[in-house]
Amino acid sequence: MQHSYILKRLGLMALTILCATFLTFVMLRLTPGDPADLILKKVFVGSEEYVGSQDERSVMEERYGLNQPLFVQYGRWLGQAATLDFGHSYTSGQRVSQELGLRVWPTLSLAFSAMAVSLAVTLLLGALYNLAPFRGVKTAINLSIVGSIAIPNFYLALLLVLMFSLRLDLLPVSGYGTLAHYILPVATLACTYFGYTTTILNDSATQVRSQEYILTARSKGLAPAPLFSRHMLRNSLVPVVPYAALQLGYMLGGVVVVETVFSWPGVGKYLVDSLQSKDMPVIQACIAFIALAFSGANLLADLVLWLMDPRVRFTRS
Amino acid sequence: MKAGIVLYAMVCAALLGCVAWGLTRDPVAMTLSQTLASPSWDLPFGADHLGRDILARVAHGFYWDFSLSLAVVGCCAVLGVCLGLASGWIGGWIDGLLNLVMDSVLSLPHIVLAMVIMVALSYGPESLVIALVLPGWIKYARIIRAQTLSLKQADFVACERVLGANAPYILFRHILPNAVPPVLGLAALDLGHTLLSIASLGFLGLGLQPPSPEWGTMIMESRPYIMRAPWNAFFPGLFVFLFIFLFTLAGRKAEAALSPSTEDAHVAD
Repeated sequence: MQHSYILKRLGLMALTILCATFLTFVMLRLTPGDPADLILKKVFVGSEEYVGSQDERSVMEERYGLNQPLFVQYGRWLGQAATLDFGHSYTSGQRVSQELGLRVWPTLSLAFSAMAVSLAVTLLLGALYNLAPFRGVKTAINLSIVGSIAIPNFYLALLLVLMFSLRLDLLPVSGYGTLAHYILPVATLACTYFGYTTTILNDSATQVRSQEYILTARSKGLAPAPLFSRHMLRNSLVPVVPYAALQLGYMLGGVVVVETVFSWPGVGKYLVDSLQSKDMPVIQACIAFIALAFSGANLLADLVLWLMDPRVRFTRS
Repeated sequence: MKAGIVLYAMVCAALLGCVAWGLTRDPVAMTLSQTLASPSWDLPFGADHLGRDILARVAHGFYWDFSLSLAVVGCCAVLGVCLGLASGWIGGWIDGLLNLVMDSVLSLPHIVLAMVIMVALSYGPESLVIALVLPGWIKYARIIRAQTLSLKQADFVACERVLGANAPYILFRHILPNAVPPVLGLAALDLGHTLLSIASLGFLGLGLQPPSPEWGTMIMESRPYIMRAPWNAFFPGLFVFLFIFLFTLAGRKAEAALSPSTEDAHVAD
């Protein structure tokens, strides 16, 4: 049963990615503006003012296959994408697969380190929330959760840059390379994401608290700290971990904005730049990458839940 | 608790007071002599790089961001409820098709899909609504679909059928009222998310275009002057933050208040 379930999920995932890339393909081809004109200006002449003749444009259309029907174009794109060939950029003329390949690691490392920091904050706040003897601590944690959900990531990024880079001159304003470059983007992403996981942890801890085995542990005289770490934490984490896997996918959305603020050479900034210049092959490749990573995160979430919680495993099989 | 409500009301009143004050001022008049002027009595929030009054722009930004968010959330809720009802009640191939559409749309993060749609529809308020509604209706549809599926099996619906009630009567009399509380809670939270998406798109240059006084767009425009005139970015961002904060707080309270009662209702059934 497990194998067929995973196979079915993988099939569905492939189908949804196909649909997503096809939809973007159609939407982008229907946008105003002539791609042949763009290629001519950017790649072959290098001047925005250049006015190409009809002949030159039709040569471009022939060369990039733009004169063919939409379905044929998509089929060709798909066939090439299957061999990781995403064509050439309309603005730089470079191979997209090469440019994209260079940007995958910066994006993934940023998302994973932000996730790790956000989970650490979640655990810390979860423990504080459950162990703190005062109501004030709970209120403060609840407000910080709402703050984390409410603050726009680009605004937080600008405030942090203003404070730590421009006023105090401690950290680099933008760019990529050293460990110091990671601090502000990771802090921004972690601050805007810990709210969701902390909410889920606290809600599930509240439910776990009302279970009878907790009452048993308390009545035998167990102190709050070991009660939390030994009996409550593992069960409270059950809904948190799959959500964190999902959040890795959501983070790809946040990464798009944060990368733009910090001029981070990742997939998100690549996508925003290509959208602004309507560089179709690059947009398509970025969308395919993001859809794959996002659906992968969804699948991971299901698998993690299945591995973690025997109750789910038994009911499904 | 009571102190919290008083504080909440005071913050709301202060923000709306600022907005009302700013709405009486001109958001587009450029006075070059006051370019990048710092906050003062005449210009409480300062002036931007074209010498425009930031208080007036922030207030008119409220008009844009808030009305667009409301429009998006309203469209999402209506569309999601209708399609969710259809999917859950009719089932069969309609359910299968809608599920495939929902899964496909959900295979991209909201903001990324919205960015692509904005480029395809060439930026404008209507495009912004479409770009955010297309990925936005799904959460509502999912909730309603699940609820319809479970209520379809409930004994009281079977009784109604035996008594001779037709499908529209059951849908509007029994299933829809049960769906209202979760949709309201979700809508309050969603208002904040939508506002955030609108501002993020504006910030990326893919939302409303300048000179529209949209909060995200204003922050984007102010970036080159962040060192000389930080108030250019600070005030629009503060308004985005505070409004989303207030919506989220209200949404969480509403959800917490509504969820136990809906659970009780299920138990009672």
